[in-house]
Amino acid sequence: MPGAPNKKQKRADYRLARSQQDGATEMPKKKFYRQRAHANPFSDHQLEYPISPDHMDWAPFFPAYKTDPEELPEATASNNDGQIAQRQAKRLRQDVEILDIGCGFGGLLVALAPKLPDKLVLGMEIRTQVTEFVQERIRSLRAQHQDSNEFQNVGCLRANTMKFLPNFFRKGQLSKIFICFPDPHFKARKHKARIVSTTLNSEYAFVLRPGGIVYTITDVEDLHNWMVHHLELHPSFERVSEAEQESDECVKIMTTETEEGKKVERNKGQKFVALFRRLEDPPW
Amino acid sequence: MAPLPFQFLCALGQDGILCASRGDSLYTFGPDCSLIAEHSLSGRPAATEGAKEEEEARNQAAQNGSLEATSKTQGEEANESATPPAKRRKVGSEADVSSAQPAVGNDQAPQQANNGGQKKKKGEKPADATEKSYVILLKATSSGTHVVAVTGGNKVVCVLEHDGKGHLTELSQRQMVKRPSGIALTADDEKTILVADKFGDVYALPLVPSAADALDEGSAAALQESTRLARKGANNLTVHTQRNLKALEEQARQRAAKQKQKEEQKEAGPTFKQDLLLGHVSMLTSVAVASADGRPYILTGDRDEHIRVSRGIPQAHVIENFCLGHTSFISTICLPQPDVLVSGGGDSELYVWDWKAGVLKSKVELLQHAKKEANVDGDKIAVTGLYPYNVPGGAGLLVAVCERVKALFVFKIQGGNLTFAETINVAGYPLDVAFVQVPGQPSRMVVSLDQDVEGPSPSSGLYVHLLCNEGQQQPPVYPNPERGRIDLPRPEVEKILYTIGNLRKTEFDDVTAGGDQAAAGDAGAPAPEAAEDESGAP
Repeated sequence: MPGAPNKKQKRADYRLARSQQDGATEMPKKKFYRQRAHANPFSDHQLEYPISPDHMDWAPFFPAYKTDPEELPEATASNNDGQIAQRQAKRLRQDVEILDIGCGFGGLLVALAPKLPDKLVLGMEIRTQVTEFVQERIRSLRAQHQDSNEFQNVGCLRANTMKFLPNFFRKGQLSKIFICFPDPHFKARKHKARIVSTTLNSEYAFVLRPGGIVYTITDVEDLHNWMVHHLELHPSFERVSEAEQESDECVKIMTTETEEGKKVERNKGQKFVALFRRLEDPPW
Repeated sequence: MAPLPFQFLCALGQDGILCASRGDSLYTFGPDCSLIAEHSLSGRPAATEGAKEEEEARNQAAQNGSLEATSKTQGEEANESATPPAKRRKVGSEADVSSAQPAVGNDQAPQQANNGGQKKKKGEKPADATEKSYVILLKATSSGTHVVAVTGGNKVVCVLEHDGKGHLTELSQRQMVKRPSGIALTADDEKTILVADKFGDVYALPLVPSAADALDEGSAAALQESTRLARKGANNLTVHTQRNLKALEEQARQRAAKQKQKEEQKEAGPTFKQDLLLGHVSMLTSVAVASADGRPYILTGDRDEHIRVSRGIPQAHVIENFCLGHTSFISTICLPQPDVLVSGGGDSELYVWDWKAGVLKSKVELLQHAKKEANVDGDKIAVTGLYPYNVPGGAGLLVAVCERVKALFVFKIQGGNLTFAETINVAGYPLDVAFVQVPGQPSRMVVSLDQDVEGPSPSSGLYVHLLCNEGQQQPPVYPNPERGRIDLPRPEVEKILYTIGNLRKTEFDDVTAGGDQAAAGDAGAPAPEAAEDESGAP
């Protein structure tokens, strides 16, 4: 592969340079972070994920929301108590409530964060390089807006949500899930790899509180039909009416601010939007 | 050449009848340990059309002596067009398995097997033993009236009726799309089989399909059609590059051709009722049913350390909670008491859960006992089975079996607490455990052992341990029937018997550079270059 080591070297140099300048206000350049747009959700990858939501340390992602260590009870010698204390130490003042699955280069995150200043917004992306880009992007934005304290409520981490969503979020923790321009996986044999499927929707329903909303947008009509079909088929979801959809501010942001959304716009493509509300579980 | 040992065991009813699987045959033994009957799952006329086709293909392969006959049957083809198609893989011919012909006399069996070995060499393509249609799962209803056996290579769920005296009659053979990895029977009189598969899905199948359940081909096809969407794919407004556009045109052309083909040969969906209940994106390894407050629940364990608690039918889509805490794969889950869940897998402890609340109650050490009392080297064990048993009038027992560990680990359960009781050393690697109740005699714990011997063995490998043996009786001995014996090279035997340890994820080194990680991840396998880079680094 001619050229490849050179490219790798350039990327490494760029990252090193960035890491050395503290509080960099300069935005990262996408060209150093590009990565093939497909990932196999079934493979093991080298993922880091918490054993359970209680084990998740959110503090590095939302440092401004870290709980004050003095407020916490002292860790006792007993191992069990120590674990509990540790667990509490990892708690933020509030929980992540809005999730962008497959956040890509983070266009939606960055647009949503100022609009929802009192909510924590998290992006999850399976590609390492792209995740790093978004993290750098957030770092720069935070540095640029130090005075207004904006962008403290947005974070991004690498994860395979199809496998490990329940490792990050407790039952009913989320109020909004965004699924924007997912990999269409056209081949029939790849359909299980699609981010929306009857069986996977149960997991979205689990982490979403009743009344919470799943936002979907795609430029592929077939995939749109697929997502609508599978979410409508799922007894835990109902489609949100067109009128309500139009009045939702997040829909506008989702349509215009995502990287893919802009790309589709440039190519004068179509966009298909569908929203679904999480219903209360039936009595059991 | 080593004989294939008895592998899976289950007790049929309360009258001391034991059912054991070896290769593709089921054997039943009476309370006096005598062999009652042998039933070959592949030797019978198949119930489904797909299986029949396969049978023909197999026979043809036997006639030609060729190993090239693939098992791509009509049934599978139909499945392929109707549902997301299965991985296309070559299934080794069954022609060389002597047990495929149940008529073979006892003295001829070893010779037959030898022939098989020679054929294999000629074919230059050793058939993968694990792909053969050997039994991979075995379960009986608690009353012992039905036996469910799953065979691996052809992914068939067989249901057999038991007459109460040790004779089995095959009722149905249903071919699944994906290889089953766990089965359970629902609590409502065990009328439904839950089949968990390697693809992460759980299907519900009626144990005995009623006339209404049996879909005739026409309606099955119609059902498929109605649940399927009109496929449009990408259109020319969604793609951005010249090449994509070309690919799109090509796709459209192919689709048209396919459509035509489909019209010519009318498609047939699965010809039996199967409901998709729930699914993980990880490989499922175990499924169990539970109940609380009179409501059924389904518990599923997967390779990615999750145990999911879902509601039972008909609300299986509602996830109640997850039991998270394992740090390695889960291979087996069981409920020794209605409110207690015990799980095991690649971790060195057994985990005890309050499954209803999704709370880990305790971890019970297993590895240390294996090291101390069973001479296990290394720091890793893989639990392959957990077998609960309630001693009448006594405490509950739980027997744990680990892969390639010559011991049984016995735990006591009292009031939801699990405590280690004893280690029973055995003469081989335990494969499966069944508790057989014999009227008027002490209950038997029967363990199938892999004795790792070359050549024919007089012993059946069925070890018997008597429970509550106050009279100090000698444990009875099960015979080793010649009929249906299968001899295979030792590595193949191991491949068939030991599959759990392979579930462990490859451990990467964290030092690997980010870029390489990404490349490795995307390829779906660790990239060899990445490993080299690392070794080159200081």
